Amino acid sequence: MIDNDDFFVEVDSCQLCEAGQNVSGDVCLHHKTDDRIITVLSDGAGSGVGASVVASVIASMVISYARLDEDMMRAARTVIGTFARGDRLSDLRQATFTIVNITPYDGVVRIVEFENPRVVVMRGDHILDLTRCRQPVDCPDGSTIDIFLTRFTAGVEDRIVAYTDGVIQSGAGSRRMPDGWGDGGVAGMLAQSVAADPGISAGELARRVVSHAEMNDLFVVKNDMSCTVVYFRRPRKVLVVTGPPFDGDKDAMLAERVRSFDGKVIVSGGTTAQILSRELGREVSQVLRRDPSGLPPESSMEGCALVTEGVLTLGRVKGLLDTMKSSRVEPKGIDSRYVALLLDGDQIEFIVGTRVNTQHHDPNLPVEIELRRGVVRDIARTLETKFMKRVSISYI
Amino acid sequence: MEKKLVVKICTGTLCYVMGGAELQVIDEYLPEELLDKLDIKGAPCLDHCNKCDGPKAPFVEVGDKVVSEATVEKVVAAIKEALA
Repeated sequence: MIDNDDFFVEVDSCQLCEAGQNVSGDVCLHHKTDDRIITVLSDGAGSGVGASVVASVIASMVISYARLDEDMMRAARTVIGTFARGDRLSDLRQATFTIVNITPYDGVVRIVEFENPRVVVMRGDHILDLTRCRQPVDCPDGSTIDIFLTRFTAGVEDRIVAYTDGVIQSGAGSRRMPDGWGDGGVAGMLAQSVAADPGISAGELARRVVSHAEMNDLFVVKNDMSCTVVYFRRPRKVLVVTGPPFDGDKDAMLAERVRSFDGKVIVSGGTTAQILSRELGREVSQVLRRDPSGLPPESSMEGCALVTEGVLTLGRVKGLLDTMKSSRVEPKGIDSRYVALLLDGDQIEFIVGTRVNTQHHDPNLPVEIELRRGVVRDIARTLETKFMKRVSISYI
Repeated sequence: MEKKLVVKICTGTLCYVMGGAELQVIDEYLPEELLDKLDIKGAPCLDHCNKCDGPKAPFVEVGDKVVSEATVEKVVAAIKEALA
C-alpha cells in the first residue's frame, strides 16, 4: 500500500499537429477522481478535423465510463464495438487508443492498448519488460480483434510513457533513420533523459519526446505526434499564505507553519508579509521597479520563494490559470512566476487569513479588492480539476 | 558618510490601487542632487490603512513623517521640507 501523502501521480502531455493542419488528430485527455486517475491517448486515422473528431469522441467515451466508475475493459470493448461496424478491416482502424487507469491508493496500474505504439514503463531510468495479456474482442460483424492489457503496481519514481505513431515514424525516409525513430529510439532517448535528470517532470519529458520527434522530421511534422507521461513521485509541496489571521493570537501559529514547512512558500499580501517578518524575525525587503505584469512589485524574505501583494496578484493568477492551454508558462512577470511555482508543485496548501481590512470596503474601490476567499477557492478548483493538483484550503 | 533620508512607499493593495502605482517611479521626478540624499524603498505594507477612520491611502513615509493621500507633488514637498 502506498501512503497517499507521500505519493503523487503527475500526468502531462505534449502535442504537435501535422504541418499544414490547424488541429491535431490525436487527443490526450486526463480525468481524476478521489480514487482513480484515467488518461486516454487516442489517435484518429489520418489528420485534421476528421481525425480529431473521431479521436475526441473515443477519448470522451472512455472518460465518461471512468466518471461512471465502469471497468476500462468494458469501455474499450464499447469503443471498438462502436467504431468497428464496417465489414472491411480498415473500418476497424478509424482510431487507435491507449488507456491508463491508476488507483492511487494502492498504486495499481492497468493499461489497455489498441494499435498505438507500445507503452513504455520505466522504473527510474530502467525500462521494465512487462508481460502484456492479449484480450480478443468480438466485433459486431463477428470478427475478432486484439487489445492488450498490462497490469502492474507502480512505485515511487516509476513513469509510464504513451505516444502515438507520429513519434515513432518521425524521421522515416531520412538517411539517418530510414525506418523512422522507432520504439527502440524513443526508449533509448527516454532512458538517457531520465538518467541525466532523474527528477524530470512529466510535462518536460513529454515535451522532450515530441521535440525530438519534430527534429527527426526536420521541423516539418509529417504526422500528428503526441506523448503523455505519467510520473509517480514524492509530492512537491507548495504553501500559499494569504491574508492576516482573524485573531492576532494566531499570528505566531501561522509563522510557525511557514517556518516548519518542507516545501516552497509563497506569501501573498503586504500585511501578511509584515506579520511573518515580525514573528519570524526575518527582514522583508522590496526593490521598487515596474513589473511587466503591472502588478505591485514583489518583496523578498528569507525562506520564501515569492512574496507578493495580495488580492490583485491572486486575481491575475486566477485569470492566467483559467486561460492557459498547457501547463507551461513563460515566467515573465510576477503573475506568471507565481503560476509557474504553483504548477511546479503537486500538493498545494492554501492558508487564508480572514481578517478584513475595513478600508477595502470603500464603495469607491473596485469590487474585486475584497474577494480573497472567493479567488483562492477558484484558483484551488482550477488547480485540482484542470492541472490535477492535490489542493487544500484552511482558514485562520 | 552622510546619512540618507529614508523614503518608504507602500505598495500594499489599497495604496497601490489608490495611486501608489505612480509613486513607484517617484525617482524620475526628483532632481539628481536630491536623489543622492535619499534612500527610496518599497514596503509591502506600512500598516497605516488598518487604522479605522484614519487618514487615507496611499501612504508614504518620509523619514519620521507619514504622508497620507500621497501624490508625487506631496511627497516631493515633504522630501524638500525634511532636507531643508
